Amino acid sequence: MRGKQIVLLLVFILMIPLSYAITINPLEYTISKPELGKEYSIIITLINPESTLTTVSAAIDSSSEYLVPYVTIDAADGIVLEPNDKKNIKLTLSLPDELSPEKHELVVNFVSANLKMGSFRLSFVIEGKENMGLELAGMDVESQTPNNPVYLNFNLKNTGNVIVRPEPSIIIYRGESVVDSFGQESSIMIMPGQDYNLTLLYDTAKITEPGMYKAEAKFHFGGNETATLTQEFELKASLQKSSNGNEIREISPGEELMLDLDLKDPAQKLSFYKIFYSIEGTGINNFLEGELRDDNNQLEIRVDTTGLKQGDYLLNLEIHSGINLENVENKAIELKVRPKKSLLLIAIIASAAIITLLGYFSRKSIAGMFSGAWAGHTLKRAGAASSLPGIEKDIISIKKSFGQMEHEINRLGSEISSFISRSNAWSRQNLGEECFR
Amino acid sequence: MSNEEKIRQLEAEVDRLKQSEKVLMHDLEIYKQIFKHLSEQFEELKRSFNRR
Repeated sequence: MRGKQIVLLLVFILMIPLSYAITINPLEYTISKPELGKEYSIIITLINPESTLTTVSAAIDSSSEYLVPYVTIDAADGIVLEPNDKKNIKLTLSLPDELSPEKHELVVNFVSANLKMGSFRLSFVIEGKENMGLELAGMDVESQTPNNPVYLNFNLKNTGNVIVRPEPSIIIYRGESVVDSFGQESSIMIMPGQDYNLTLLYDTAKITEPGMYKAEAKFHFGGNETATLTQEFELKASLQKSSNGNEIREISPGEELMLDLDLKDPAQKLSFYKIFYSIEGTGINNFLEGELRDDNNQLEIRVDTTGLKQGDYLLNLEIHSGINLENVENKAIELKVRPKKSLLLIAIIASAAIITLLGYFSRKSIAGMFSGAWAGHTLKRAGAASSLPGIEKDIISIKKSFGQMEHEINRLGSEISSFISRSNAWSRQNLGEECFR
Repeated sequence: MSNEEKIRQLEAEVDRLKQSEKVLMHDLEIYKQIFKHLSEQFEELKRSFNRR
């Protein structure tokens, strides 16, 4: 009985078409001597060699998106191909009066059920002297905290008469050491004479330490490269917040607390500050005053916390700033004085070693007690990690859903693109070129 | 940061992604409907143009 089921299953599997494919003929075509302002029509034949019905859509590839206004594809959307059927598709390219002097390639993708079945490539060369130029005119780095990305903003200018496809090359330095490099791949296209503002999002996964960094950027294009620009940026330590919104700072016993304060609305040329601080229940309090110049609103202060023992404290700050000390801000910081983790670990290892040795020498069960305690600790850790598979499952499901959504967005994009082509063709045919002016 | 805190952070991030997923799905559905409506209007326009 079971054997019969397997045979039936095999027959069923063999009946399922192994692949959905169409044949595109021709796959590529070259217009030998194109003339600007003229119209060229090409017939593309789509053949369905499969025994199943296929619906195909034609969409212009993003690499040749700039040619979309000049292209019309008849029945670009929903080309129905019966089994072993073939259909002719008419592609019309109306060359504009001006186009950059270089080789152009129009790529048309044929898509069915979110799958690319194949592409047709139409190429032509516009004669003229090519002049490729790209200028990296500006760079700006928006630094943030280590848990957030850094934004790198670039201003690029195409100074030549041909399309430029720049590829960024960015190196991140800390001091003289390279900490990261990225940005070798891109699909950016800048048309002749145009400016392009590019923002790259840089994930600071490799630079978790706060401090000063330097980004060095240049762009490669057609065997050349732009000048290199560099800019320093600061990564600030991420602020931990307590449930009541207070900032949390952790220091080790004997350590001095360094505080970076952003003062409110400093005057353009000169402003003053007065800061009162106190740590509740310790008798530690102080008063600082001074002046800030040149629109500088950053102030670093030191709080003497060297005498604090391990425990939790509340640091209250009253900050006055401005020309007449008119801006007042009250701030509370929850201070946690804890031994450094590494020191704690050394202490645990040292205690473990001592207890084990004591157990060994006294031949009593102290070592066993330690083992038990350690096992308990390990179990607790394992319990904490038990929700990880659930998170992983969720992430896989989200990834799948996002992938599906990406397909749907691409499909909608293709449909919109072909709709524009069709509506333009119809408008040209029925309303004339006038409607485009 | 302890492992527990890291897990909590991950859980919060996953929740945020789930919310984003819902919002994006909803937005995509609206865009699809707008496009469908536009396509229908265009077909209607073509039909009325041909009738004239």
